[in-house]
Amino acid sequence: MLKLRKALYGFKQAPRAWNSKLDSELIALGFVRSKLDHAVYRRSSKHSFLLVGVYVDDLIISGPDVTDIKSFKSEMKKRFSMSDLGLLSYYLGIEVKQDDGGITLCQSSYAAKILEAAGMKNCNSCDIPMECRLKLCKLKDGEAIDPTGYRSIIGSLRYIVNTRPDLAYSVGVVSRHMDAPGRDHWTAVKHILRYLKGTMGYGCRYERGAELKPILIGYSDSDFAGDVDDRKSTSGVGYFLGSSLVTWASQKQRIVALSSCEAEYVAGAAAACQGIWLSRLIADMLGTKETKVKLYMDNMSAIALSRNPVHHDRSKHIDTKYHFLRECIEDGKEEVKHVGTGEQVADIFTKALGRVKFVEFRSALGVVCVHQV
Amino acid sequence: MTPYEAWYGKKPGVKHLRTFGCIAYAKKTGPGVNKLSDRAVPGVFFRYEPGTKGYRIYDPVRDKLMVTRDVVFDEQRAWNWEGNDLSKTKGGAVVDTYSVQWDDTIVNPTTAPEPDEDDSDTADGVEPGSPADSDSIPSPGTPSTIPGTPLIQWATPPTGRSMDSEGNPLRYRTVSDLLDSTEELQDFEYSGLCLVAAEEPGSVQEAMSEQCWRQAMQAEMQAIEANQTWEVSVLPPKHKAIGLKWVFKVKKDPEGKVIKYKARLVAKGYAQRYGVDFDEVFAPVARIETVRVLLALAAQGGWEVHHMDVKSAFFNGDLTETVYV
Repeated sequence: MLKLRKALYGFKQAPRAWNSKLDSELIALGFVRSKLDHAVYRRSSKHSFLLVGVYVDDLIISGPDVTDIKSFKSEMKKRFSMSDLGLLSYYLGIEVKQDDGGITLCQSSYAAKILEAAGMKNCNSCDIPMECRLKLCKLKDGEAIDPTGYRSIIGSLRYIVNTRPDLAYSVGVVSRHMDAPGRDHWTAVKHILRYLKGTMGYGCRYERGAELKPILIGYSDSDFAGDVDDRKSTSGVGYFLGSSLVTWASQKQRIVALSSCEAEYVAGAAAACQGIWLSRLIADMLGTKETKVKLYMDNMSAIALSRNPVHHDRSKHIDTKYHFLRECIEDGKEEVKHVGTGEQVADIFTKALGRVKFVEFRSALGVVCVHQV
Repeated sequence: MTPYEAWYGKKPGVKHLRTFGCIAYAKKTGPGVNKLSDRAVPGVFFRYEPGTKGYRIYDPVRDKLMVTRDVVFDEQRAWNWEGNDLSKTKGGAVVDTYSVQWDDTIVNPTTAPEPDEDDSDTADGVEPGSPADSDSIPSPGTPSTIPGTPLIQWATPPTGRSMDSEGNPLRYRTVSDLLDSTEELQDFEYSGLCLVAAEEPGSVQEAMSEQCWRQAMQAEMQAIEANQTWEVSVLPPKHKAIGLKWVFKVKKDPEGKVIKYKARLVAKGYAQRYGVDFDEVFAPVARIETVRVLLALAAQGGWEVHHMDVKSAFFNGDLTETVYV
């Protein structure tokens, strides 16, 4: 019999054992674990700092000082048997390209894989992922289709949304029907796949700035009673770090909003939560103080509701938790500003737009063709 | 009268008694028995196993003893210890090959053709061992006297049992019959890839027979030893050891070319029990949003982003629980 000192592959606690080992080694090297994401470590030195992101056995290392990165690498090589993969180029299925102009992320080979799996390798492409103003409803008496195949394609599409915010809304809508997909839903999925076929090499582009100014700008928007079955609305939230879109969400709200103001207010509360986390995370990474988050909304009454603690017949039923945004503004963590519907880029996360508007907002999100297929 | 009979009032049962040293077929159980494999292993009846209702069977081929209740005995025959060749001791039917002229193209043996005048031809046309003289297929109903009728091989002689409900002979195809129609691979390089490289071995025995896998397993064992993963010890009473197995993987590049043969020794984690072999299992991983924030910061500041990978990372983790394998 063999008594184990170290973990083996296959053990239930093996990932945890490895993670705590790595954690203690990094802390011994002078790193501090971020409280906002336990897989991010930071080490500050006299003039500079080093950031390390951990994904099981993959480490991504970045920082202003290249010599710092090099010295960290050699320190790690002493402790573990490492393979140095140089500049980050491929991480969790995401193709990363680094050049003087900035960093691009795309998933073109993953997109090709999805199309291959769906049997749509040679389909014709189209301009938008979803027909303008399309409303999908629950399967009633129409023809049902095989749910397993539908779910597997949706699962793959959901992963590709990691670098494709332009697909967030359409993929979100089709995933609402995973329990009982019908012919119409499958048509909508094929529409997304045809759009994907035309935009395989698209992805996020993060521009290089003149200097590091970590300003967070958020956009929150909502449709009103967009779901034809239960009349719930969809929130859309997007956060930019400078000019780079870092997080986004397109989510059906949990409550039935009685007015468009209420729907926007609920979306704003969701945006406030995300914004606070992001601002703390960035402050933690850079070692600076939290900055005020700017949040742009396009509904004047929702903005008024968030700024002033008015009590009104139309808003008295709104649940306490949705007043989170109001509290953030009072504490000075967030700042709400108005933006016209024409510049409200979070619109793309709340409804199926027409081609002209879709393309305009897509480029505003920084989703561009980064890889010629 | 035996003491048993005096006590119980009846004679002891002797139904389970068998001839010592006779051939016994022990049923195969457990994994690795598939649809087409043999259901039993032949062995020699060795003795009765005290304490159980099983028999102890000795398998001279593998040199193994087994205890099992699922045995079929052939008490008329004994193991051939000289040649170890089972076919000599086996009586039974010798498989004869018959060829029958048949003029129907339906291959499914359960589908009987329309009974017509050809049936008599079929019965007449039984010629043991006659070779096929042509390969063209006539249309149904054509008399079989025409040259060019295909021959169907019979694995069993067409006796009374080989007739179906409508009186037509059942048809069979022999293995050689099937193999003749498959073509041998001509492209050597391609066939080599198919047979050696692209396949992952199903068992350790299979892997040991190939150089590439042996090297991969040695590399894995070296990694384990370099990390001082385990020490030899005695399993304390009431402790359960966790099983180990090898997992083999061929790593390929996008064009399908083999990059690496990878062998990994894994523990059968499913046998672990909560609170005994493991407690907490959660391990944090970076959120994809965090990764994007990090990359956006790096892009803005013009930083370089580097990537490193820990080889055999999990061998480094220290176990807090006491686990035996």
